[in-house]
Amino acid sequence: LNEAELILRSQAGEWEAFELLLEQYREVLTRTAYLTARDRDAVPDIMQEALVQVWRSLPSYRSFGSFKAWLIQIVLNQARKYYRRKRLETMPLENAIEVPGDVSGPEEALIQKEDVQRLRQALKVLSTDHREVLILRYYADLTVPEIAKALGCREGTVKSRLSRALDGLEGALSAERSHATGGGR
Amino acid sequence: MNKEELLKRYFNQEGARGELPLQQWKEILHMVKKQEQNRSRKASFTSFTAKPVLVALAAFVIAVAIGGVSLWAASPWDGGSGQTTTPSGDTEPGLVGDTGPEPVGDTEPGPVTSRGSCVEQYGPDTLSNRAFAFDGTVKSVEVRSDPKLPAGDQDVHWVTFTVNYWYKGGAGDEVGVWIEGLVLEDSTAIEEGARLLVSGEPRWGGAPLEDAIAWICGGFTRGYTNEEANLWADSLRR
Repeated sequence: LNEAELILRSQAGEWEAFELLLEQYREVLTRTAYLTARDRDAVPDIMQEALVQVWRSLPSYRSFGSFKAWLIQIVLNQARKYYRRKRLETMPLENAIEVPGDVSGPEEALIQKEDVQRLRQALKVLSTDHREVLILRYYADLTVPEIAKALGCREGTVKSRLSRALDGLEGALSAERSHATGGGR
Repeated sequence: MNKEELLKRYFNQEGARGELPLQQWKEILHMVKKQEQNRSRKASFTSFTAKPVLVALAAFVIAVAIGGVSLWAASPWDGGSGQTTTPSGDTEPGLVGDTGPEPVGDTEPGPVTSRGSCVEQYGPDTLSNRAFAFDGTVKSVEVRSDPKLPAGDQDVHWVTFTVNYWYKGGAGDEVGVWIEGLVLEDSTAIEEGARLLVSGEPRWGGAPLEDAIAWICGGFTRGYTNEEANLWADSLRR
């Protein structure tokens, strides 16, 4: 069954079709939830809330872009809500970001530990919307029009936000490098 | 390795730390299924539609008793209590039964949020409690900064509407409201040209349209249909 058929069957209330349909997006949805909420323990709750919303909204879903972008938008909203609540209730941003841990994966895909650390630090200084646009573009692999739909802004805004986010990241990385080498003094 | 490639690999690598294993994913889906089944059953008995249904049943019994003929039709507000009406008029599949509002977590005190409506069930009475309500067509969607919100989360969608009809709380041809999220529960996308029925509250209290935020949870803001518009008119005339 292709995706369109699975959507139709899910819309008709076939739970098995819904499971099959969503399974294809398990990786991208759960990872996006984690990257946005920045809390691994929150991912199951975020996903449960999001899946309920997907199931309830699906019968009247009308394609206005890619299905993946629609799903990601729902997950993103739930993850944001969680992140905002957590930050308001508990801790400053710096503490909300998890301590780095070992990640297993294909050797060639892994980047150096130092690079991970530098990027993590650099991403901390970006605003939430800049961070989100980077996640949607460079992790979820959404196109600019899809991101515009998901974030509810114009494509031009997405482009400028991406550009500013990358510039901000570059600046933060340079500052990191400078700091690490004792430069700029 | 360029910046973009580095970011891709970083997010991929970091994201893997949050990926749910298949087994856990299936457990979550199972919980969602159970939740929706229970909700569906519960909705049959306890949603606010029980009231009109009981009234209709009583009318039916009376009609039968006097030998008349009574045709019972489900209350159009059924859609409000949960069964989302699709553009074609179909209802959600049996398992769902109800998109009606169940608290989804925004019960903490604080400013009104778009989803605050989840703590209140959508229906004629609760709709009439809203500070403002109108039929409007989206003129523009932009992201604006609300300085009253916490730093880093101040960017929220600001949607400007051309107002077709004011039910409550305002006047004039145009109005702007905050909206968190751009897909409604009935899957209507909030985009230029979309015609919606919108209701909500002033986010921080005050006059109806002071920092007005549309409630998107539970159906308090939804795609326009003539049928719904008539129901809103009835409800908000009370």
